Amino acid sequence: MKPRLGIALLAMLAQAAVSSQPLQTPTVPAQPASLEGTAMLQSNNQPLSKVYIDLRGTTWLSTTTEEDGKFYFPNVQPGQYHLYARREGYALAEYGQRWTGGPGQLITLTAGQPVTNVQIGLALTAVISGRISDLNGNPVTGARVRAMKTSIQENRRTLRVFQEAITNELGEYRLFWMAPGRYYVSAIVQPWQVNSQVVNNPSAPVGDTSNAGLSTSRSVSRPETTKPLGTGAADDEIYIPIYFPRSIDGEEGAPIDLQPGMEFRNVDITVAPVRTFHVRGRLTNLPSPAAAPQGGAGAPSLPPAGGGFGGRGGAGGAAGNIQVRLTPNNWFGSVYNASANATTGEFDFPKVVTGGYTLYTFIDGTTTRMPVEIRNGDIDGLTMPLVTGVSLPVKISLEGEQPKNLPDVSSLQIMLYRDPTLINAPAMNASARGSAPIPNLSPGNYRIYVTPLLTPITGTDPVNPPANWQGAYVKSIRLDDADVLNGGLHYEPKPDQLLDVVIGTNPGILEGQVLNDQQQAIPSAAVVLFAESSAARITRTDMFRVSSTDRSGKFQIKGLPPGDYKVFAWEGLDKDAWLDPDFVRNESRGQSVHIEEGRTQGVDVPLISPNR
Amino acid sequence: MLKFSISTVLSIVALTGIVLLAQNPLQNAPQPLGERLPGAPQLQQQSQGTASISGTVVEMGSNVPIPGASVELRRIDCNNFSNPPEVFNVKTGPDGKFNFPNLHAGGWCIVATAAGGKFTPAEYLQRGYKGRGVTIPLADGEKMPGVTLTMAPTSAISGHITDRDGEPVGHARVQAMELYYENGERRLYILQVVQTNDLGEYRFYWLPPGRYFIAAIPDDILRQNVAFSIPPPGEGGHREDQLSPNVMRRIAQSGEVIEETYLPMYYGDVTEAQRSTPIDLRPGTSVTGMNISLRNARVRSWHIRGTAVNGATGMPAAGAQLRLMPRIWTATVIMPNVQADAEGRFDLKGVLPGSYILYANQAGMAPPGTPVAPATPAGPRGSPPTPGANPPAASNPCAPPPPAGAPPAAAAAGPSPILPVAARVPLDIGNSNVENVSLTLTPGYTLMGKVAMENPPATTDGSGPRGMRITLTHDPDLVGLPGAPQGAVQTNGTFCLANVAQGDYRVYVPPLLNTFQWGTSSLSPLLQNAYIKSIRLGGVDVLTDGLRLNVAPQEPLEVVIGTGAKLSGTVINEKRESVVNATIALVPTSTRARLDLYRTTTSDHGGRYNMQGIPPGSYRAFAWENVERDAWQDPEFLTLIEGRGTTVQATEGIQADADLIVIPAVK
Repeated sequence: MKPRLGIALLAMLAQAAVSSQPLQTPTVPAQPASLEGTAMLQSNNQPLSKVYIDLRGTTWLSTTTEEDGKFYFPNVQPGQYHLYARREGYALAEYGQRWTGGPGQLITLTAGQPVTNVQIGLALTAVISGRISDLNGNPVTGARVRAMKTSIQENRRTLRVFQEAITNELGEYRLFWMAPGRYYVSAIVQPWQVNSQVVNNPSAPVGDTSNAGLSTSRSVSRPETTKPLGTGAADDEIYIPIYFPRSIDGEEGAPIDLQPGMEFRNVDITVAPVRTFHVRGRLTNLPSPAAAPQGGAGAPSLPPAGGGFGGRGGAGGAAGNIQVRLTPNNWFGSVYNASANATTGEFDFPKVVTGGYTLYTFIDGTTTRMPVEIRNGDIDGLTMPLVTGVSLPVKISLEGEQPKNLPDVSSLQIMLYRDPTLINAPAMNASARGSAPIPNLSPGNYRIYVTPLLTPITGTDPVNPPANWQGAYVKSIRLDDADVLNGGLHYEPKPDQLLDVVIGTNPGILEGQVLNDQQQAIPSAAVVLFAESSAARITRTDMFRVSSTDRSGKFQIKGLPPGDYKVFAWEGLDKDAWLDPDFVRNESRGQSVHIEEGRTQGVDVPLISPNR
Repeated sequence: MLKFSISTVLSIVALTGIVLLAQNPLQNAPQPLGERLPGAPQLQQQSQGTASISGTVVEMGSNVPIPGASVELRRIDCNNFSNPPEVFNVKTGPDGKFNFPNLHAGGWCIVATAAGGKFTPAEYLQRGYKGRGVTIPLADGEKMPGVTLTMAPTSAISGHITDRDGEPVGHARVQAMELYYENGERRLYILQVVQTNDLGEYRFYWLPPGRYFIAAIPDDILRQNVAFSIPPPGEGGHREDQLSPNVMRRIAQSGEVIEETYLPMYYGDVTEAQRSTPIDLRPGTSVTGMNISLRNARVRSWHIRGTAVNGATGMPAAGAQLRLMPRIWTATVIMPNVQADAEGRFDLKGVLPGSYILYANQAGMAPPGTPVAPATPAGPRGSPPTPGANPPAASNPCAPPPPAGAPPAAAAAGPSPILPVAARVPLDIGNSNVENVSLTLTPGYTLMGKVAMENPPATTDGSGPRGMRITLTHDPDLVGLPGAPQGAVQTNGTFCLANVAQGDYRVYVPPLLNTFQWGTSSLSPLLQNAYIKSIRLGGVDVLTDGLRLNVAPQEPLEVVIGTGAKLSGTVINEKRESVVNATIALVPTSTRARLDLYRTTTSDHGGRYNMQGIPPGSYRAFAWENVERDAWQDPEFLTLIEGRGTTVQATEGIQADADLIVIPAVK
């Protein structure tokens, strides 16, 4: 309520990797390599002007096309290069791509051998537009509308924000320059933010800031009385995202399939706040105050999660409180935080939306949780006894001799994730380095990872081991007689347990070609490899590999842990398609392959094309 | 945001939603007339008062009542932004009416706001939406009915941005700017920033009525996040942005590399702001077709290449940040910038012909093995220094000397920290690249000084300068420069600014001499009639000539605080009626470049005004019914009205009286 006096400073410092681009010192080899070609519209091969051409390899060079669509790199260091083309209103294209987002081909430039007539085609982008209104049909200004794509978050299918737009005072929005593909749209009303609003520029490739630099902003605000910046929702209401066409359930969002050049109009969403409820209860079996860690505020607290939650009961939080969290059982719900009184254990979540949740806390390295179902009313009198954890001994060993240059296995880290995952709960529930025991483990089901050999996936791409671990893989993980590597860890404390991890160094290789119905080898096809068993597909991220065929339609994937795999080859599909469990389940055209240690396995993979 | 997981986004939404809801009790449905909202009054009061204020919130022009508007009442002068002792909030009823009963006696400031941006905030007897209202004086038992607060509906401006081929430009950054006077210049500040869509369309909305200037510049195609700022009226404004040049590169068949960049293009298709065509917005309108062509916005650009060396270590200034500063202030600063590589080499692109300062700085670092404490000075514009922003004590020349007998600090602390270093080189750029620029970055200077009070009042306990600060700002004060140093004045009047980089500065002494700000600061009783009489560095009169640090200062910076004059009177019109909420300005008769000598205030509900802390001297006093803020800093403007001022002589410690005849507003 205090007037905002004086100065508001905005410093959006985009400390970009400005210097990552090597300085172009004019070192001209005696016989340089060169490249020239034409950028054109994919659908009709008309030359395109204003196309930004990016040549990336040993050096980075860029140019822009004129009306004839021609580009010239008359003076290039020999080597292998990716060639990219982008223009506003067109999807990012890579040379050799068979479809937008598909794999491209490298260009090899040799001294004294000009490469000419390289053609790169760009596809038109698409638009989603509509209007956001309230229950009375009035336009909603400042609603955030998000175009999302399927993604994997903690091994669960979720939606990833691809582009955002903000409705204007007429309630209108326009999401544009969208690459063709499948999208979902949601809208949410948020309190108005005065400044520094940013929306995505989807033509910008992720992680590419070569042309960016510092950017700063500052403003002096007029001292003003309290301005009602809220959303207009009542005290016991809150806005949550509405998925097009009209659902608060993220699973019921209707996909929008965008074709090049299309404008998908009238994606209109009506937003309304939803009722909220209290969830009250108490923790029992509390640790004695003396047992609480004395670091910082002295309060046992949740570690910061992957994002969003950083509060440790800091400013304003009474010392000695225990943080508790309600985390939704679905991926689209909201996460709620509250403090439990350290003496009485009482807590109160004041504004929770209907749904299935897990009540969760993390004290002294041990997690305790219980399911909570909120229907149309407050919940009172929950009781959750805190669990006491037990230490689990670990042994990591290398099979065979230690290869030179391979790091010692004691530097590997065991990580246990609660299974199923809780969105925005601390991702990692227990960990230990090398053969140190895993402390404070509570009974339950876990997914196990051994980083950096077996790593959780947080996006759409596999996470392959770093170069110094190349050739090593997790061969087995056993607890008593159970196969933990493929079946997950079902932990029940017993005497004399040992988590036995064996690292192998004799991986297999898969090579082959992708063939269409006419038995022709297909270049630039996407090749994806999974664990054959659907249970292991989630946990065996080390068996998830993505590759593509070269100009002759061949591929090779090295460093494979032995086991049973399924290999698929696609063209023309969104990169995200193979993350969709339904898609994989219904796709019978995958090939089963068995990889043995130290052996090269050959396979012919039939091409799956969306047109057939 | 591309990389944000949906769950993260959702949880942030949930958390912020909860927090904001808890803090904003004003978002209920319209309340019955005069009903108190939860959370108000904010402070417990001993007993209820007996006075009251009531009235109506109406729409400008139509005078239609506005239901559901928030009305806030603060017991404080409208030009004082300290925390008031009492605050009340109500919402207007269906008839637009509000009522504040049971008020204590005192001066009350009232303002009406509407959720969102459909209306500008309204204050009592306000002149223009940027002006402040008049404080309502209430005696015990006094009833003040019929207070009308008039809210202006906001307006929209839309148009298309096209390129040289007439094709739409998507993700062009389009900004709506307003004119302000600052440092004696007419300056266009940014109020709103929007982006064009794929059809090249842009749309500003929630614009208060007034005069706007529009400019467009294409955003970098490689930039993932783009600016978007539509502040609800009354909330923000006065924004400056520093951008990196957007460089387009073309390699000709011959191998020649041609680089071009964009200039901001103003409405009217001109690149100079002063030649731009302004757009006058009336309340509640939508102006369309404000199109801008960028066909003349593309200009050939050049490179500056060279090497930067850390003069303190003799090593390459690896990672040093280089910035090419224009010499003239603009709100949209296109500043070529790059970081030096490991060998200290740098390559600035997007450079246009002109006169510049090449500025380089390298952050300081703690010696190996100690916690990192970056020695960044405070942010610009008088913001308080960030915690931990001071260099390590061992390197701090402003730290008190160690007690006698203590071991030398360096020996105790192990290896010395690497000092922050900087360099600045003037450069004139023509139509070619500049190669082999050599920069040696050196540590900054220590600027020590003292604030002395002339004629300290007999009651002083020696705490005169308490709460005063010394603030340096770059001259020109471009956005995007590293923050300039500032420091507190100690109780004995001394101050010390560490690591002041070479450069041109202006010196401010808040709260007596302030950088641009809205509203006035509260002054302690001791300082209420004080003024900054002089700031000198050796023979240099800093108030007149500014502070140019090319070499280490050999003498202290001496600030003298003098006792000012007081002036009061009534503003009257030609019918000898008193004029409420008139703007009064004192402009020095000579030395008009000395902006520290200017004073301004407004007349109260009875047309009275009071000023103090006026530097002794001769002034012209002006009073306007309605005038743009600080317009009297503009010599052209003054020429037009010079004859309508009143000559006033200010004498140290003397209270003078002058009734002023108001200059009526131009209808």
